[in-house]
Amino acid sequence: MKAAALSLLAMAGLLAAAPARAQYDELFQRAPAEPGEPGEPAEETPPPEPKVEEATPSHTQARFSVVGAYRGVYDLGLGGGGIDFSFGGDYPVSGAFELRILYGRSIGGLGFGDVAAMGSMMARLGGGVRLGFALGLEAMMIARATNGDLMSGGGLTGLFRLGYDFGRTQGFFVEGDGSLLYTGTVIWGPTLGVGYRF
Amino acid sequence: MRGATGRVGAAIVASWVMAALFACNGMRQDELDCEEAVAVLDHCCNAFPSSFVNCTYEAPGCGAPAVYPSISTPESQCIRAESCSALVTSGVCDRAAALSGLDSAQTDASPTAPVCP
Repeated sequence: MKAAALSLLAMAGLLAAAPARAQYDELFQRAPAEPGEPGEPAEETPPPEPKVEEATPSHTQARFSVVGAYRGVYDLGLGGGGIDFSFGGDYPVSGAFELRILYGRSIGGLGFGDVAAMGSMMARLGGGVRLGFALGLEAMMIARATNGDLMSGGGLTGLFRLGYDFGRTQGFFVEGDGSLLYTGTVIWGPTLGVGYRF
Repeated sequence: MRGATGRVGAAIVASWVMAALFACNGMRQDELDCEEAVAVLDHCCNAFPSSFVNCTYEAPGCGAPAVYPSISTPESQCIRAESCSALVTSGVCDRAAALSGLDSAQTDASPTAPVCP
């Protein structure tokens, strides 16, 4: 009788300890001990390693630059400046949408404006050097000296570009390109720019 | 994938439509050279009547001859090659100002005397 009473007490103790064990396992992320092995120590499992957030590039970037340009139209030279904005990928070879706006004057004083919208491709050659090209549409307007009206021409444009990026993902950059615009005649010229990558 | 292909195709079509719309050339060399020469004369010559010089080409039609800019490309090149003082002393400013009459435009039938040299 006494032995039976002791056995009942022992079983009651084990049953009461079970919820506490489950809480312990839950707190410390351990697998609960197999039922039926209450006396055996659970195998030591290494604590989970803390997850480290790796810095991943966004794979997109915006570029903004101020540019200076020369354009040759027939036998006239036009010089000006403007802005260039592009948004696209940040891969070793990636594409972007690009918008360029120029404003300037001829040697004689004719004012001109130029807008180009292009799709561009760019390849990193290593060491910050990149090479690329762009194709798109461009329109040029030149103001008449006689009455102020605009002479305009537009068409397909293309350019080849060489640039250098300071910094791996962000930073300043410099670039230069040579472009051709076909409007029935060829309007050509180099453009140099300095800007920042975001 | 199909959506991306569709967008690329739409972009190509839109590009060609835009190219067709832009495929014009409103810049003739003789007009541009004439305007450049007028800009130089306006800068160098005192009270040059720029707005009365004709630098527009008009195609022939309905029996009317073609109308060319008052200052030809060779004359424009000559004007642009001279200094301001040379344009004044050589009489180019005066001869160019005389072109500013409303009937100064050159036609196939009535070419005008050269302004420069």
